[in-house]
Amino acid sequence: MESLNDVLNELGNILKPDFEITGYGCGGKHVRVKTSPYKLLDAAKYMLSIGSRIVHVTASDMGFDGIRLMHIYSLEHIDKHAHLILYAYGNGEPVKFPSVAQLTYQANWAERETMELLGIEFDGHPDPRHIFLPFEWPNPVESSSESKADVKQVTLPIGPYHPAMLEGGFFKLFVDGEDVIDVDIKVGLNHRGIMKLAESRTFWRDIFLVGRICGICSVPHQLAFVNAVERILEINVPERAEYIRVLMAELNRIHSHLLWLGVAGDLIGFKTLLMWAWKIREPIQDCIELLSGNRVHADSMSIGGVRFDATKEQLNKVEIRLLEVKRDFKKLAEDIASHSIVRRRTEGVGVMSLNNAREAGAVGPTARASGWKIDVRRDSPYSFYDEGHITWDVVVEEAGDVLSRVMVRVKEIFTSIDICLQCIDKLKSVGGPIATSELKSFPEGEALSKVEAPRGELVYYIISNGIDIPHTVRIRTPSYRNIAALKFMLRGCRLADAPIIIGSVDPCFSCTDRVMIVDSKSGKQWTLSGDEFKNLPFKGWRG
Amino acid sequence: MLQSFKRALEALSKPYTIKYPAGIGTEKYSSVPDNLRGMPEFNTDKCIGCSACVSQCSSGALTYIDAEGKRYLNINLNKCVFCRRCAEVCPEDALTLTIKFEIASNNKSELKVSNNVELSKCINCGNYFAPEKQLNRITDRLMSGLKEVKAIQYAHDDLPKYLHLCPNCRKTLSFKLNIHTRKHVLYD
Amino acid sequence: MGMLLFTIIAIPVLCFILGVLFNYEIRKIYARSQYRLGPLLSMHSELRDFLGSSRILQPLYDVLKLMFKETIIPRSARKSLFISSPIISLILAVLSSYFISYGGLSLFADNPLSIIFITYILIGVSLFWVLGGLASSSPWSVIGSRREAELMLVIEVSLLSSIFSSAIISNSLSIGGIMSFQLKYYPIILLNPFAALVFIISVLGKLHFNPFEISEADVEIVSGPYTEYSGKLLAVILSSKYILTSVLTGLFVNLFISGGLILPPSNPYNQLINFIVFILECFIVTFIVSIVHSIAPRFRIDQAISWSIKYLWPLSAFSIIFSIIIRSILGVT
Ligand code: SF4
Ligand code: SF4
Repeated sequence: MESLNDVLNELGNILKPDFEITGYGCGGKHVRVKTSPYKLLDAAKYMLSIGSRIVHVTASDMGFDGIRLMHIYSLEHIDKHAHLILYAYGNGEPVKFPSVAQLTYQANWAERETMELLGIEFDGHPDPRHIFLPFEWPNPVESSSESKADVKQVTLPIGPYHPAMLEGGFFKLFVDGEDVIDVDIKVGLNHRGIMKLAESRTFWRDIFLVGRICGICSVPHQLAFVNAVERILEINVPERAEYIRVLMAELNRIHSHLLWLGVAGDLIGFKTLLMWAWKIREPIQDCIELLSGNRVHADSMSIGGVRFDATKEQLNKVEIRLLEVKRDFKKLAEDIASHSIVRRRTEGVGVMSLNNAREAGAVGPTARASGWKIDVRRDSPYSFYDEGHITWDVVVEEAGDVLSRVMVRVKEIFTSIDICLQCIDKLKSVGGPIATSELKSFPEGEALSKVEAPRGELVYYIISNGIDIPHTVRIRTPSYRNIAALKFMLRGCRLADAPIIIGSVDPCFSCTDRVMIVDSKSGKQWTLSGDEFKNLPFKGWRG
Repeated sequence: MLQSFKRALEALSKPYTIKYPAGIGTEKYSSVPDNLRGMPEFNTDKCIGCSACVSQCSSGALTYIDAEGKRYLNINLNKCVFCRRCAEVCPEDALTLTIKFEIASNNKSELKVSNNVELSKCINCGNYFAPEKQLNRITDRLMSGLKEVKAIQYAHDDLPKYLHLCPNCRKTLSFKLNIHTRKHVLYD
Repeated sequence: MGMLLFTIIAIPVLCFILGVLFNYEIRKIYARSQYRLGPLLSMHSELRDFLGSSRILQPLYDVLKLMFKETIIPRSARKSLFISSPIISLILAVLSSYFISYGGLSLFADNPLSIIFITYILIGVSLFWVLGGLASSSPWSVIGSRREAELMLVIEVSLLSSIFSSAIISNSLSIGGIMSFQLKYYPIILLNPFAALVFIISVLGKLHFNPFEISEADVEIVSGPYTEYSGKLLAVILSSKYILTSVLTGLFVNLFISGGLILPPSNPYNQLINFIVFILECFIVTFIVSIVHSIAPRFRIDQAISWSIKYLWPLSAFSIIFSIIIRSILGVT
């Protein structure tokens, strides 16, 4: 397949007669195609066969038309920016669609989420369990009915709180002695309903809301949101604003990666690394504070530009700080790379092969550590990441283990510092306004926007129906994919490595955590309060 | 590992933690930039009570209630996310974000920034309906925008009549006062 | 008799206070190597009124605080063992403190078999931690105890071999004897640095410092064997840890750097100097331990064991052989 048009032609043949191009976005590169529900599976088969990746599966209630299911395919390997948004309307009670999760794991979580949010049913979904609600909902059953039938299980819940993660997920490890055989993941323990909330507030107020989805990567969230809105409004952003946006986004990436490095150190018991990395991170936070007035939530994006200008004095200060950070971090990076015990704990641990990464649809540093060269900044450049403005390279590592995930992030910090320095250089010479003065009322329309957040590809899909409140806001965060990909890394690892592997994808979910260990060999049931458990220590660990 | 050893030894004499809450200057605060977004503050003289800030407040921290002839604007600092959106939209620059950030308190009622503005009475029914200052400001702006002598004349005559009517009365009285006939006079 | 009673009480108290100070030092060095301040030696002047003038006794405050907290005993725990094992380990730790010579001040250090006794007692302390963890039947404690037990298997061997290396050189099974040997010849750390190295590494394992902080790995298993302990029982465990800290550092000083004996303890003045030197040496040993603690991540349990078997055991075996050689060279009888 050479070009986007070839793909569309071929798709037209497959989907005939239910094939209708209903709109374009992003300079004709985002193609919206309407089809009928029962053709979705054929389309998915074709799209996957040409190496396309499912970015997200989501749905929106379009009122009279019924529920609109959207498959967002990335065709970035064919053409920059190219995306296909394939959608179909479904009606009925309940609305039923064929499931593409039976073809690829990438759609697994997305479809489960859609089921949860809109009550859609997917035919043929391999794992149609709740994702936000408890598995047993609405039955208050405590038994683990979702377990594999042939394996007699010994359940040993480690939780509900686990110090390895500051945020909440439920990892149920199927273990044989110390080796993990399989893993089951439950997220959504702290679902906040931000997408729904965003649909009840104006676009302007939403900017601040989406920034608060995550304190660590608030800039990419806001950037993706305003990008989408600007695509709907079709307004251009002044040059200076774009450079400030890139600067803020990269500062954000540096601080996020440094934060992660520290946490990773803590997970292998190297608390000193935590402090060392965070000490280096501190000047970066100061820079963000200097430019925007807040250390954590920069809140610097606005529709059509940025909210704060950077004065020359500020830029000079930031430049000096960045150079210091670069120097300091270089030493620390060498130190980590040569530290024998760090290597021992990370090398060859939690390996995810390139094939697994593709199958799981991993994104960001996690995918790049497995040798998969994807980066939204290169594949669909937003702001000023394209060649004309800033030069940089995508960092890729081949091994796919925890060490290479560390190294990818370490190298990305240097890349980001370079990008920041280039931006500062440009900002010193480029003048002009920081926000567009074009005033427009919101048209009807929809837009997809993607941003490379520190953890990977962040996707926003916004539908506007002509008022200043968005009709639909759909967000797919990078961790969503990477946590799902953990399944592939945790298989076959050692129990003691589980925290660092889980930590190595930089998971970002909120607030409680449950880990459950299931012994797959022996047949006895362990319960925490029963007599069995009381005698456990004296009978031996494996029951 | 040797490098780590060296770094640890070097670090022994160079603590990075500042002395907060003790100390003075940089011992206490590592950096407080001038544009820090801290506690919002009203400029009581400038605020006209237009409540533009209320409608745009990103977190719903800013609210107002009209009571007893006054409009009370309140910022609940527990909710405020210090985004400076309110200061951005304020037409009078009456709201600013100070660099005060040590606002933790044991007393909930202290976590509040408030301002009040006088409301004016409807000249017809006598109910309070809009801030006095806002109406004056509107008059000023309107008057200063007009160039034609005739328009100024009309505005001068009519504005006090209509502007000081509450929305309800304006509806019922609009025929009586015959606003619409003047329209073409103003704009042709 | 009165003197004996005084020593019986004074030694554990001294040991505990030293343990508090050593733990303070460990925390301080750990913090300082991370660019933090740690518990302040002298409080910032503005805060003195609220926080006191110094936090040097912070580890002691931790224990005192726990004393006033509720002690929770899990319903699923084996109650008798759960309660008794920390207490027994404290008693054993106190017992072991009598075998250390504090710059000459001691009770049983001159016992001809004191080394044998102390090794047994030291194993007992760890053993009862393990038992306590198992008795609490929390999954975290069980994993922690299992890890602790596995670690004990390798660490005790190297600890023993390094202790006996110095015994071999000095041809004595009594700590007092080893010290007087060092007073006569040289400190054993100069004669056999390998044994000293093995001892330090074993101390790291024994006190759960990095890279052997495996049984207390907080991000993996909360705090290992002590997860279910709270209140007074946790205070007991902490106290036994403090005492063990000073016993082990004291033992190192006794066995390898002449136990502070730089002058013959013939008059009280010399004894005082010896005592001060002993404490200074202990602080130096603690410093080394805390620096290593702060610059190393934690091993995985299997890595710790394979590393120990691969490097530590050969080194211990070598240190014993080396001791025999040194001894024959010195011609000690
Ligand atoms: S004048 Fe400014 S501060 Fe006062 S109500 Fe209007 S927008 Fe708010
Ligand atoms: S700073 Fe933001 S959250 Fe606070 S009152 Fe102003 S608009 Fe509302």
